[in-house]
Parts: sequence; C-alpha cells; structure tokens
Amino acid sequence: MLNVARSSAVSGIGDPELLAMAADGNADAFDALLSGRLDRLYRMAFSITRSEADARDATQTACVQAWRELPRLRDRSRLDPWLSQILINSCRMLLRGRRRGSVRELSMDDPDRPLPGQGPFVAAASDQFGEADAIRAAFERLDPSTRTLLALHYVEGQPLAEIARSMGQPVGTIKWRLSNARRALEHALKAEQR
Amino acid sequence: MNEHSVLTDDAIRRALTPSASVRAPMDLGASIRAAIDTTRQQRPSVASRLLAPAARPVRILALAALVALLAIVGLLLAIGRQHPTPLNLALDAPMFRGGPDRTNVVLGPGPSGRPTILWDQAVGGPINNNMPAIVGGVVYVADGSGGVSVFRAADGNPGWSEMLTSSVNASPAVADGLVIVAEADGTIVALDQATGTNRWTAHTAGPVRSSPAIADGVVYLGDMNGFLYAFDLATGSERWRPFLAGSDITRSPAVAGGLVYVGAGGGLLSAVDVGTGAQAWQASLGPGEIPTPSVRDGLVMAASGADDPAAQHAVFAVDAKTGEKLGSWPSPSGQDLYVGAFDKGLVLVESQDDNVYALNVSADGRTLTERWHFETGGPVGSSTAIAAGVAYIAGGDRTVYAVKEATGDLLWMVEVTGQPGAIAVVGDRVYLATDLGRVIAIGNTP
Repeated sequence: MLNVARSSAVSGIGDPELLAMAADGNADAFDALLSGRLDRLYRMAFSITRSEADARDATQTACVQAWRELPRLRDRSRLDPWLSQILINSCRMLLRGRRRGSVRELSMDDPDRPLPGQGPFVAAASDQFGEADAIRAAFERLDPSTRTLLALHYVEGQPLAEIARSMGQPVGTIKWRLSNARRALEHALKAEQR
Repeated sequence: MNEHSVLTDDAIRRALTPSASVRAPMDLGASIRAAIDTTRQQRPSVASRLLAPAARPVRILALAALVALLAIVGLLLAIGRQHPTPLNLALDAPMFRGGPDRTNVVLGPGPSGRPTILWDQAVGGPINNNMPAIVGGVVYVADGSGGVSVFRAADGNPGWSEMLTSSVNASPAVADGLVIVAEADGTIVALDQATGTNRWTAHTAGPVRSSPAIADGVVYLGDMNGFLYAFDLATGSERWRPFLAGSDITRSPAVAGGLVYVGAGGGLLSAVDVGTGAQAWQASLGPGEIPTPSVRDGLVMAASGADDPAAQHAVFAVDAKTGEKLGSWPSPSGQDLYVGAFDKGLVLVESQDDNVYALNVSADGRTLTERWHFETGGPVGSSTAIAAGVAYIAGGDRTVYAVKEATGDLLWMVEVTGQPGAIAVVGDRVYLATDLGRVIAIGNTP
C-alpha cells in the first residue's frame, strides 16, 4: 500500500530494480516507487488545477496511466520526467474537460471563497490587502495551457529550457508565451478587482 | 488588493505556491492501488501485435497486392474524372497532410449522406493539430504522452503500441515498412510497421515539433535550433549536413520537384536541394513563423506571421523554383492564418478568426481572391483536406465539417470528443485525432 512502509517483499530494493519489477507487473513494486513521489506529484497537480479534488483526480489518473504504460517505457532512467509529463497532460485534459462544463469564476464577494490567509497556500504576513487571494482567483480564470505554463515556471521553478523540452516548443516561444501568460494574469487580476 | 501594488514574480510565486501542508491525501495511495489492481498493463507482447509473425509475410503480400490493385483502379478513375486532378493518387495517408507535398488533396471519395462516428478509441495523451497516418488498413498515431499506437482502420481494434521516452508533438510518417516518429526531445525513431520494434534511432540538435516528410527513401524534418535534416529512411544515417534555416523550425517541411521547402521563425521560407542540402533560395515573408507550406503546379503556398500577434498575417504564393513572391492575400481579421489543402486553382486557408477561407489561385500565382469562407464555432488551427470535390474542415468547435469545395455549402457535420487535428480522408472514411487523446473514424454505417 502507498504512503506506508514498503511491503516486506520489496523493502530494501533500489529504484532500478523496483522499476523493472513494476514493469513486469509487480504492483507492490509500483507502490514502492510511487511512495516517495506521490506528494510531489500531488503538489504539482494542485499548483496547476488549484483544486484538491482535481489534483487528486489528475494524480490518480496519471499514476494509473503510468502503471499501464510502464512496460513500454524505453528509457527507464527518465522515470521522473516521464511521470511529470503524464501528470501535466492529465491536468490539462482534466481542466479542458472542466471548461466544457461550467466555468466558475470566483469574485471577491464569493461566500465560498477562503478568507485571506486561509486555504492551502503559503501565508504571507505582508499580504494585508488580499493580494495573494486576488492573484489566485485571477489564475483560475486562465485557460489550462496558460495555467500550466505559469505553474511550471513560478511554482515548480522549472527552467525555460526544461519547459520548452516538455512542451515541445522552442525556448524563444516559451519565453514569449510566458510573457503573454503573465499579461493574461494581469488582465485577469484587473477583471477580478472590478 | 492595493491598486498601487505591482504584480511581481515574487507575488505570483507566493500566491500560487501550495503551503508545505499540501500533501497527497492519506487514502490516495490506496485508491491508486485499487485502480491499478484492476488495470492491465500494456505489454508489447507478440499476442498484442496486429500481425502475428508467422502470418506476416502472407499478410504483407496480400496487402501489397490489394494496395497496388486499388491504386491502379484509383488512377484510372482519376484520369476519367472532370474534377481537377488530385496530386496524391494513393489510397493511403502515410504522413501529415497526405504526402510530402502537403497538399492533402486525395482521391477519397470520403463519406456520403449522413455519416457518423464509426469508432472512437482513447490513447494516452493529447494529439494537437496532428494527423494519424493510415497505411494498408492500419491507423498509426503518436500522442503527447509519448505513446505510439496502431488501430485497425476497419473497426478500431487496437494492435501493437509502444511508449517512447519523450512526448510527441508531430504526426507519424509511414513508408517502406517503417513508422517514423519525431519525439519532442529530438529523438527520431523508426519502428517496424508490423511489430513496433525499434529499427533505428537518430537525433537532432534541438527539440522537434516538425512532422517528418518522407520522399524517395529520405526522411526530412526540422528542429527548433533551426536545422533541417535529411535522414536515410532505411538506416537513419544523415544524408547531408543539416541545413541551417536561420531561425526556429516549428512546423513541417514539404517536398516536391527535387526541393525541400521549410518555413522558419523570422518569416524565412527556404528551398533546399534534396540531394545535397544546398540552399536553392530563401524568401522573407515578414515577422513571425511560417507554418507548413503546400506545393503544387510550380507554386509554394505559405502563410506568414504565425504566433506573432504584432505581425501582418497573410498568405503568399511563391514561385517554387526561384522563390519570387508572386501574389498575396492579407488576413481579413488580422488573425493567424495557416495554409491547408491546396487543389488546382484553389487553396484552403485556416484562420484563428474561426473561419476557413477558400482562395482562388491564378495559374501564375499572382492573384489570390476569396471564393468563399465557412465559419466554425472557434479558431481553426488544424489542416483541412479535399477529396472528390468536398472540403473537410476541423472546426474550432469540436466539430468536423464537410462542405462543397466549389461553394462552401455545408454537406454534413459531426461533433467529436475534443479539438480535432488535421484531417485524413482515406477511401470512404475520415480519420482524425483530438487534443483529448481520441482517435476517431467517421463514415457511413454499413
């Protein structure tokens, strides 16, 4: 089981061996592989989706897909970037599916909105004017690709070259799109303040 | 928020970073375990291959004979018809936009009456704007998770599948028993068409979004470092030293008449000799990127200004031999344009302003005028196709439209799951893939 000590059958085994066992259909080995990675994957999903339920769905979907596809992974030294790529795709597809349904845009008067300083984000003593809440609400107005780009850059701290590689675009294009994404966030922030 | 405050990097980072207390829910691991306990892994086993090794030679011979017979029948039909003669007479769609010239004008004839979705299969990742390859009754797709999958065209039954190590943002190309796939990280792989087994691997210097074009045993594609490559199809070795196009190559090259045509950033359109890699000419079409061009009848059709909001967006007709700019047509809305299917005297142009424009193209290429336009419910970024007098449009509203090539009158429309990519018409069916990771066949129910 995940998030608990490794079962005796796989305890003390290194990642390369676990990966080989998991690719051979050993679910305990896959559990063990994920146990040290699940929090990171969940936090990444949360930073893109900004919803605990969506982050959970995206993480679970990505992990199940990884399990299904694992035997076909050719370069096993790239497990972590491969998992991240699957998770990012999972988040984007989930958000796009959500956009097909209702798009809920939070306003500053929304009674369900967490109060400043509440919620699962870093609390900042200097955030006396609800700036962080407004930015988060503005972020939720953005399309899935823009959100993903901003989250990978500002939250995950991924360098532009790495984002460019995972998104299959030139560094120059990513720079330009990041600049646009930031501008879109500013526009959304203004809309949020109206 | 304080109206005088400034949106700084630090403010964004602070606002969006989850607190340290954000961790995976305690029961998430158990949920995943329960899910994987009921999920079968996809193994590249012999049993899952579309073609059993023992039956492969017979099957390949039968397929080859059938394809040859159908090609001859198609050729005779094409010669007899009054409609402008299509360039691509093959009954397959082996690569992005039908063939190396990227005209995507095919025999079809495509569906008739009121077609519906015949089958709809899921793959592991999104497929954005790209096209499945269809060869010998098999559909080949590469998706954003790095998966390469095959399906039987008749009924969508899955065959072999392989997982690559990088995402794929380009269409696969199939020729001479190989499936060529360009991974985003610049790894080019050749998989055995029948089994998915890796035959060779090559590398580019930069990331790749360019769909391979295959012509006369050579694979052509570009990378984001601005290099155009020619790999030997059989071995993967480089045919010539990579050609430096001057800026990022984010789209796909076209091949026709002994030249490779490739668009790059900075509005550069280059023509390169297929045998030597030497530059024949280079034209500047203004700022922005040049999406995939389309070549026929001595004309290269290319759009300018892609991905650059400040650029002037236009379609140019360029002399294929000299690079001289002949005629042009500006975007009526100022939005991005992309050249799509290119028939004799008519080119389809997709636009971010939700429309597809059909332009009359004079024989000398000096006059481009609008014949009709068809509005969809959203930006159109995927390539159109033409077959037997019908234009097929991947609408920006998750809908595939068929309209009369001559007038733009709607014939039928089918809603699909996700944003459709470039359209392939093979026989009496339409095949496409979507950004929600679906591979779909549209046709008439028997």
